[in-house]
Amino acid sequence: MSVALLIVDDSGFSRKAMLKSLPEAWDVDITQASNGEEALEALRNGLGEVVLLDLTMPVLDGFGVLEGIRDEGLTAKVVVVSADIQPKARLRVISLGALAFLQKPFNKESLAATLAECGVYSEN
Amino acid sequence: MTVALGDNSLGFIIDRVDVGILVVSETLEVVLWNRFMEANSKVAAESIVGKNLLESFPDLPGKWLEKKVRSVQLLNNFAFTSWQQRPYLFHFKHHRPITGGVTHMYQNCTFIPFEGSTGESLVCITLFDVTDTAVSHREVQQAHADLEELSHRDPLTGVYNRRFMESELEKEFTRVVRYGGKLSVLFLDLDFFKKVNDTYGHQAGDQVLIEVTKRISDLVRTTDFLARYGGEEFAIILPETDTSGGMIFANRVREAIEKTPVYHDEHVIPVTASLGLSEYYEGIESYDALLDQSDKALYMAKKEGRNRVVCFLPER
Amino acid sequence: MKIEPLNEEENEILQEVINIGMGQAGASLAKLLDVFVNLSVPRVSWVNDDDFVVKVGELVAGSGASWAGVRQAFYNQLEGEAFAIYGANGCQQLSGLMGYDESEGMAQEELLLDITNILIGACLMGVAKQIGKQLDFAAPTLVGIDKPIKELLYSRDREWDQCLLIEVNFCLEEGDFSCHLVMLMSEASIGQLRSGLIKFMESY
Repeated sequence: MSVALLIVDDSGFSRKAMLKSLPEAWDVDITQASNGEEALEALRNGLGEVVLLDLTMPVLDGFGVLEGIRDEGLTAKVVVVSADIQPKARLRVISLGALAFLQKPFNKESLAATLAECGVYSEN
Repeated sequence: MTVALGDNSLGFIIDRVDVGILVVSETLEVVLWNRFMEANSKVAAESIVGKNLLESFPDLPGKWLEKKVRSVQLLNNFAFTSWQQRPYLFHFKHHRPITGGVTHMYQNCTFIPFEGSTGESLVCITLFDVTDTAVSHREVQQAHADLEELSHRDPLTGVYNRRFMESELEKEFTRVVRYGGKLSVLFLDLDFFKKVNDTYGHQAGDQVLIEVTKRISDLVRTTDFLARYGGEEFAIILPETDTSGGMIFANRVREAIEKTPVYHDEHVIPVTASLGLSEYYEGIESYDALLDQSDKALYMAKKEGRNRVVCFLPER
Repeated sequence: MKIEPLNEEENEILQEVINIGMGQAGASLAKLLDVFVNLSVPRVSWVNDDDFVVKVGELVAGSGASWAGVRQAFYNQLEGEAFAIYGANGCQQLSGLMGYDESEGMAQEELLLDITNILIGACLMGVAKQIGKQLDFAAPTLVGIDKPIKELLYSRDREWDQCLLIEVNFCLEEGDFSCHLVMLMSEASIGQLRSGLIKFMESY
């Protein structure tokens, strides 16, 4: 059964890069969102079991999405993928319920490692 | 960078280049001390390599230096200091001629973090002698200031010119409107000045202007503002002064001008002046209106026979 | 020679590369001050030398008020100049955070220069690293404290007709401090930038 994967990033390029870096064998149903509002809307419609979430976005940022998920009682496994690498950002997203923080720039290997680490997907 | 030269050649170049180069460890232990540093500090490399920099140079800004070295290593980034904010790091003598007018070498520095051959954190500090730049810069600043002063002054008498006076008056006016207080403007016009020029010549006329300026200058306070407003006309801004105070001052000036003639070559030139005074009161819309009032008063002084002070009375 | 501005795809890649650079700069600032730094979404535009001051005024949202500015030139495979623009109150707050004595005027100036050097260094080195280009920096210089934007950006002889304008801003979660980084990359290095962006894209 395919996993509903939601990719959230304001950069079209970044979303493309993410798509190209996904583990090939992963059976996913992909939805894309370009800001936090779109992301929450998609989540409300059940399109995000797993979320790959950018932090720096217009309209509503990644922190806002995590807060929205918490406040609305939505369920999602969130992996934050961001260039905002300050230690406090990492702590903050974890405390808001994210499972892991993947630093940008990422590649296939680091993405796969992070997904495995937090039990979202592993290749074996 | 491809290194075509051996270590010895590189070492030689580091020693001879006209820049201070020193390398310190995380704990500010000196690892390298080039010839520039030796020559300017009179401390030989043998006596400082392996020792703590701050122990050998207690006058260095120790705390600041430690912070700087640490931050550069932590962030793995170059850092700079400029003579403009920090005139020097090491207090060295400058090499300018004795007439230099400076007391020490001005320095720009760079802090460069890198890894030593055994992986240890090191910082290379380079020191550039920028004394010449600093001195030129100061000279240019001074020249600018002088030029600016010049553009505000009347070349003949040396007092402020009309343009600058009006900008000062505008400031005073705005201040009084906003915060309250008193402000008066006094116009002074020499009587029959054209006749002086025609009778005694322009050089005599100039001499009269210079002399009159001196007499007024001797009487103005430091807070007052004297300017040459026109050919034979002067304006004086009197802050914190009303017409009663202004009248006392104006009459003193009038008397000082009349009392003694002006001497030029073999001529004895009698001089008098007419003066018009007015003060700011609430309701005047602009400093122009204030000038206008004083001008009207001056006109009355001329009309009523010259060599007198007239005060403007607002029609309420 | 007229240079073609970046196309949509190149712009997108550039935005992402700047995002990464900016994240590194923000992390440096956060490490230094031990505070949470809010990062903006980078804004990129293509400007003429005539209207870049106006554009910067719009980006900084306040061309009339008073600001402090530091300029730092960069060169090698990418060249241009960067400005760090600080709000007036921000400087004082920064001094406080760094434990500087407010009465020391020169210390405040030096602090502005240091912070600027750190931010611009981290941001542009971050960008350069992603796109595989070499970059070197001149020392930062203070262009004004308490001046309008126009005066901070003033230069008698800029050599470019058009340039790429990149703006990012940082503000601390608590208090008044905010900093706008405005980076101008001249026509001369757009070719290098392009080739670097393509290389970055191909790495995915």
